[in-house]
Amino acid sequence: MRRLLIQRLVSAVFVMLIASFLSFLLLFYAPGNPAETIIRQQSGLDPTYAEIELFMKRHDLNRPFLVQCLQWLYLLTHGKLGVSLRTGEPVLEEFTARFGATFQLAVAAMALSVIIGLPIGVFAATKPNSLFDHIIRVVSLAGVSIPEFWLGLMLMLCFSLALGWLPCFGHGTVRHLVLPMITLAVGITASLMRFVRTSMLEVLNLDYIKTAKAKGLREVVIVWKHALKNALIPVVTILGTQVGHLLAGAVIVETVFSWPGIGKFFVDSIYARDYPVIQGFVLIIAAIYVLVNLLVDILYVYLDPRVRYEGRS
Amino acid sequence: MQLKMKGFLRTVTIALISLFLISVAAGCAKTGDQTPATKGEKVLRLGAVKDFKEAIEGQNLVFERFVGVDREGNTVPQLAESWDVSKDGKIYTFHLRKGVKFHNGTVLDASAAKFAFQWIANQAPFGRYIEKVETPDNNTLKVYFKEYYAPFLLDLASGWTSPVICPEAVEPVGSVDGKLTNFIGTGPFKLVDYEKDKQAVLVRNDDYWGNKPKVDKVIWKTIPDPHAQIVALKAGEIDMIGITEHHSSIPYVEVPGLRKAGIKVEETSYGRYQVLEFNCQKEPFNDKKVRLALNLAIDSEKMVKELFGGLPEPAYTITAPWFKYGPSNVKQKYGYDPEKAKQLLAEAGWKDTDGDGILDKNGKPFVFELLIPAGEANADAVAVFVQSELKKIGVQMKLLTLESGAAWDRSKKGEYDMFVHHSFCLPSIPGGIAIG
Repeated sequence: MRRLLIQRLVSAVFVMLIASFLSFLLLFYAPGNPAETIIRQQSGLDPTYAEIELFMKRHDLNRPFLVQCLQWLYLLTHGKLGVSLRTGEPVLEEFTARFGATFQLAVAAMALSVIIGLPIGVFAATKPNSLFDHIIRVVSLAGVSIPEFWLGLMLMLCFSLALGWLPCFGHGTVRHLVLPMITLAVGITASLMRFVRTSMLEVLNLDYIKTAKAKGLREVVIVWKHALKNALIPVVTILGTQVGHLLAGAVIVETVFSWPGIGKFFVDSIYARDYPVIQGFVLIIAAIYVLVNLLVDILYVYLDPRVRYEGRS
Repeated sequence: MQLKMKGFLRTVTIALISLFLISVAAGCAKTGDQTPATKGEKVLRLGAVKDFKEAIEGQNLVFERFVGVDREGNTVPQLAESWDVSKDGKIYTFHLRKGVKFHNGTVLDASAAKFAFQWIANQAPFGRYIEKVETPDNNTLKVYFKEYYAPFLLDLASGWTSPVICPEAVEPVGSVDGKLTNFIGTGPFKLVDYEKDKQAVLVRNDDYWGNKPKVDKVIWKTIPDPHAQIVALKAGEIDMIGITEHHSSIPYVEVPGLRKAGIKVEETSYGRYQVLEFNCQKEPFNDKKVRLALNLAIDSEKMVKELFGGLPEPAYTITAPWFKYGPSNVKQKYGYDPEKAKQLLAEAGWKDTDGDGILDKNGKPFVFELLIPAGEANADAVAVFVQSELKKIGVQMKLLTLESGAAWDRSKKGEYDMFVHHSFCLPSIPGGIAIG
């Protein structure tokens, strides 16, 4: 286990650095210029050449690509991620100020999808090709296909405007969380149901389940205790990769529900060519990704005792 | 400046479409029964697309400038009550308004003004031309220029570069190249609470030197999605939208619905426009007759009426008619005359010789590309309308939508046939007045 951890941490550092280097490289050579975009966005004015030059100079943007890279690396070795060109605030602060909200939304949506998607998927697998199974198939297909911005607005029209039960924007209380959480959870729940069903069906056809049945174990115990544990392994893998989906979905959901998370800020930064923010955020998000996948690998050990990451000592 | 002017003339304008407007929708009927929550306090809740600190409209509630501009583009006194300019235009003497205090109690005297001016000069384009700044007495600020700089007062009136800030507003305190960290200004509202991307709470500045605001409190709520803003407005969670942006995000098509819902919609034209720009340096638009023909082929009146419910007006000049240097006497319009358009194109050598419905010249069909920056409001609707109008005279327009930064990059390099965008300055000429 320790070797796995060390291996992963070393590769994580490389993944993070390469990801943020690539994002900088791509945007640096993409058309568009941070000075121009940022001035135009904030002032609503077409910037003059003098203004652009001044902005570039003040933010060291007119240096060659490699020099800027090295500057960034130098800052990084001192534990700094630089300052946002757009807001003038340190990138790390921009991240920490917003990440809480995104994390809250992501965890809530993930929890909701597991609570709903897992049991439904299991039920569907125990009665394959039943009416329930067919309905679930249609529902999950719809769930995956519904665009989040549309769903968000519809929920808003229904629960905020027509019924007046829930606020349509803002952040802070549980009532604010409900609509964005549901919006974000629908897609994940739908795909989770499908995965659980498929994985469960496979397991239910294995010999040890037949043995258990022959032994006279109750159906409930077989499905929920013996089968589910093995069926969960691929599901956990999927959940790990859904973290990326959560962050991507958060961009839209955060915009629709005015949720003060990192998603919208990050996208705006890309439009503005705010290099330090992009590099810094990519670095941190890559770290989170690596971390989540590491957690998934560790979870395997608990779900499946056959999985071992090193020789028995 | 010279260079910029040339760049501008190169691209002559066609079919100026819409004078941009702000639709202010206030839930007036509802405000009465919503206020009691805060014991008789008058609270105005604004919905805004941008975060308070990122929007110039937000900053302008807190900060003022030495000089302001009116609708016509005249510079008017703001924190400077008056000013004299030396004969050679190189020395400006500002007489400061007396009795003005910053929100933290600091008096705006000559030394505070000098700090604010130097801080502005560090980020404003005129900064590099400044020789020195003096304070002959407690209410006077004297600025010496190295050379004559014409748009100085207009630069100074810009909310973007030139807010008058307090020495304690920057980090480190009193440093002329410090970072603006505290929003301490002289404006009608004080910022008391701010949460990034969420909201800002402003209270009335009771020591304000000018007309005091009628509301006690303004809450700026960030709602990035325009449709969500409309829902929030209808649900009574906010009182007003649209006024918080210089480029109204409220879709025109929503306006009748808002009116029907009993929401008051007010529109003010402030002289912005959306424009289709020819690239006059390239075939086929280097020919004046071709440009004229395209102008005649597009029914702007109909477009504005059908696409935007008649809210904006068709524009025929590149400046607002009321602008001080604008052509107020222009009465002549291009009008709509497709027959004449065809005739002009024929004179320019464009004829349909192969009978495919598209004009051609020297074996080349009249096909060109309209460059659209992604997210340019209304651009898609306009593009499709213009496309169908041009098809009638045998001209094929293709559409190319690129990510905004990439589109602007191309336009700067001249790699386009036609470009759609909206005006920035008022009017959109270098040194035009900034929006307030």
